[in-house]
Amino acid sequence: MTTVFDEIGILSAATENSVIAEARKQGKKIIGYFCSYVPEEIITAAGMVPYRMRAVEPHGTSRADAYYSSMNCTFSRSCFDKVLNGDFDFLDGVIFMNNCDHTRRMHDNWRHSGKGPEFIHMLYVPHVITSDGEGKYREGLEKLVRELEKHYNVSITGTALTEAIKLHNKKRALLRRINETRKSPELPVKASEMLRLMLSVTAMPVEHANSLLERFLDALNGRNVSEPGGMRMMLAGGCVEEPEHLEMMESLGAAIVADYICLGSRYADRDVAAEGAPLSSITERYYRHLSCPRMMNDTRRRFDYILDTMKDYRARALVAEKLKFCMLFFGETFLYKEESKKHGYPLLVLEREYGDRTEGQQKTRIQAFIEQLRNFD
Amino acid sequence: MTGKPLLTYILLKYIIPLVGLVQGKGLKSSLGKLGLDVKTPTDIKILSNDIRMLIENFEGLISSVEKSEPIVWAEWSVTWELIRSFGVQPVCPERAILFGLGVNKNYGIKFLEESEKMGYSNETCSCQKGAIGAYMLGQLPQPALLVASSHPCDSGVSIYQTLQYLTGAPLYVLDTPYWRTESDLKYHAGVFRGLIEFCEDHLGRKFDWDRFTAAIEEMNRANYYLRETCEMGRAVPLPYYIRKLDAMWFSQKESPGTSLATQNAKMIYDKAKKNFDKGKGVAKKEKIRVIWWDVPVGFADISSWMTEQYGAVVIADYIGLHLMDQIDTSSRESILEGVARAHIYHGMTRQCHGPAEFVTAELETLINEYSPDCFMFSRHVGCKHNWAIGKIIRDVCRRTGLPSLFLTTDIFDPRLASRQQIKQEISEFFKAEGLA
Repeated sequence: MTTVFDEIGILSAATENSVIAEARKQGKKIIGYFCSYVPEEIITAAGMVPYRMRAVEPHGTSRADAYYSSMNCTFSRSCFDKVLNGDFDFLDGVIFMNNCDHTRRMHDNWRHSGKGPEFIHMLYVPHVITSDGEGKYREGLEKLVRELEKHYNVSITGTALTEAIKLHNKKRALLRRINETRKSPELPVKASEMLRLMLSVTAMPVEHANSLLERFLDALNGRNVSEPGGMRMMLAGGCVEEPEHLEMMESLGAAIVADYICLGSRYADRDVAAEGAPLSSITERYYRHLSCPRMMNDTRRRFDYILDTMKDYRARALVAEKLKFCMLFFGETFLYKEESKKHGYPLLVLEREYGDRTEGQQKTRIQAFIEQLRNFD
Repeated sequence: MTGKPLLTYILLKYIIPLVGLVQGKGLKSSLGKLGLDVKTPTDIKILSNDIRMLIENFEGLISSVEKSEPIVWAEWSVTWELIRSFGVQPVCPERAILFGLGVNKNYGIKFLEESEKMGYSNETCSCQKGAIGAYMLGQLPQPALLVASSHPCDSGVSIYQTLQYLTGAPLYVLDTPYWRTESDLKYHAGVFRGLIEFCEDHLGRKFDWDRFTAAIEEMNRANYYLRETCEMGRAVPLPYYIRKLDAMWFSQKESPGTSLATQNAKMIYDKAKKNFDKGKGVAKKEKIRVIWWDVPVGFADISSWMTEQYGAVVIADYIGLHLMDQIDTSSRESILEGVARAHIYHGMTRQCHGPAEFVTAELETLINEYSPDCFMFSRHVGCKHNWAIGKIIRDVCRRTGLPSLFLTTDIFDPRLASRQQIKQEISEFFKAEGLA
């Protein structure tokens, strides 16, 4: 019998999963988007399916290297390689935001490549959290709404936005409930499974995602995947979307109970207010949700989140990861070192390439770190 | 982490006598070899003014340290006129590496090594890595405030958060919009208004609008001469020397609104105009016209070497092409909008924010109107956004039939590509393309 865990294993491994394929058959348009600052609610309210861009099923980077260079991150190169390979031909549109130097340039490279779709949009998000910045972000969302309406000849009404908010709030609430279960000493779900779940529910219609999340939550009842001597850890970083990478860590004795990653708890950080004008509520939530290092005046809040979460989830140590050439997470992980000294938590910083090209080295370092922690216990 | 910025004292000690010395003829040839293009009395005057501006800033810095006056660190795409209007001394932390290299190559490298010892990798921009190293080694004074811009790059976004963490000083971010619409400019003007409020709150001083307005008017005069000079770059042979325009990028940033900066801009303009009118170039015999893409290499004077060795002149680079509009000083609102526009069009911010079209439009203008023979992309290792659009740039060159050379350099770190390596690559390129 196929379990929900088997299901997410299959869904997460595919670029175009069966649910997305089915939605397309039913005439739904699929809109790819990058980063947590692009509100899925707007896409849903337009009657389309939000699809978080990814580089699963990578083919390497050789095609993308002609556009990029060896100085650019392997996520961007792997993802763009898939664009050039036609893997994302099923998309009807793509929404970028100016998150980092590597991904924002994919907006340029994609257009330059001449690969479809026609609708390739850049949403500008300020690098600071201020009231003026919020106004500017709101202006960007209004423009996005207008351009979606114009290009696809649809109407994104207040009612549709309110309905979309309800659905996406439900999705976030379910994800938070699932995450909460990881506080338990008996761990009901592995981090690798959580990542598969995240990859699945960010690539399907929200209604389907909610049903999957409910079944997933039910399946956690009485489940215990804790390994004897498993070391409770928190994982921090940006782009982590390879479940196999987390499985490798788990096989070495890591029990990752909490995270601060793009495809993790940041996604479900807080709800959009149900009351008030829907676009205003969406603006507020997405602009002020738990930020990533691109936000220059929110560093302390991010560090406090890590401290609080480690405490809440009784994580013994922090594993911080960055992809090579990611300047944003480079600075962040550098400061984690200062924070770990100040607050006395063990820290392992790993630099890696997308797709675990350096798995051997990672294994040795993780193993040594866990042994070190055990020696201290 | 602080103490007195010893490097500043050392530099001041050696630089003050230079003012007198450069006016003597004996140094002309050796200064020329340093790439300072000191051939005429005007050149000497320009150099002398450059040094005076440096001295004024060093003295202001030392005086502030000694009197415990607040010092504001301003990221290197942030011009100082607004901060100076609070009567405080700004300092550009990214300049520390340049001064370190100026004293001694190994001394500059020491700043980089210090930050690398702390865990900074060599893929980070050396300017900012140097700032961290200099601060940790006590060569940058404790800041009261930090002012950074969200562009040109992720390195800056990241490192200013690190600097804030290490120094404990409040950080203000000049958020630079992605696009350049009227609405974006209005937003950006608001960001500058916010900077005034931020400084008033944290420095406990009132903003001096009269001083600021006077500085902007003076900057306008300098910018007029610089823009007019750059317009003359269309002429063959090239009537100006790019190093002088590069130096003005620093003067307009660190001594904006001063009569010395304006004097220099005018002298550069006058000299170029004289050459232009006579149909005379800066090279004895101009053979190759080069577009240098990205910032110039800071630890080696490649452009002078190219001129001397191959008769090659650099038409423009990121910072030497001055495209600033005149700022309307009729009201406070118009001034802030003008300052916001100037920040967006400031060399480096101009090419590093927004879509690739901002980059290619500037490049195509240079190709179509400045008669280049080749294109060199220095690809500073810190500018990941530049590395990410290699094909787009290559395709512009290919379409226009312009021979192109893509280098791998770091503007302040000769360990990545040394002066000799860069020269060798350029020589091979010139020969392979039949240009030399």
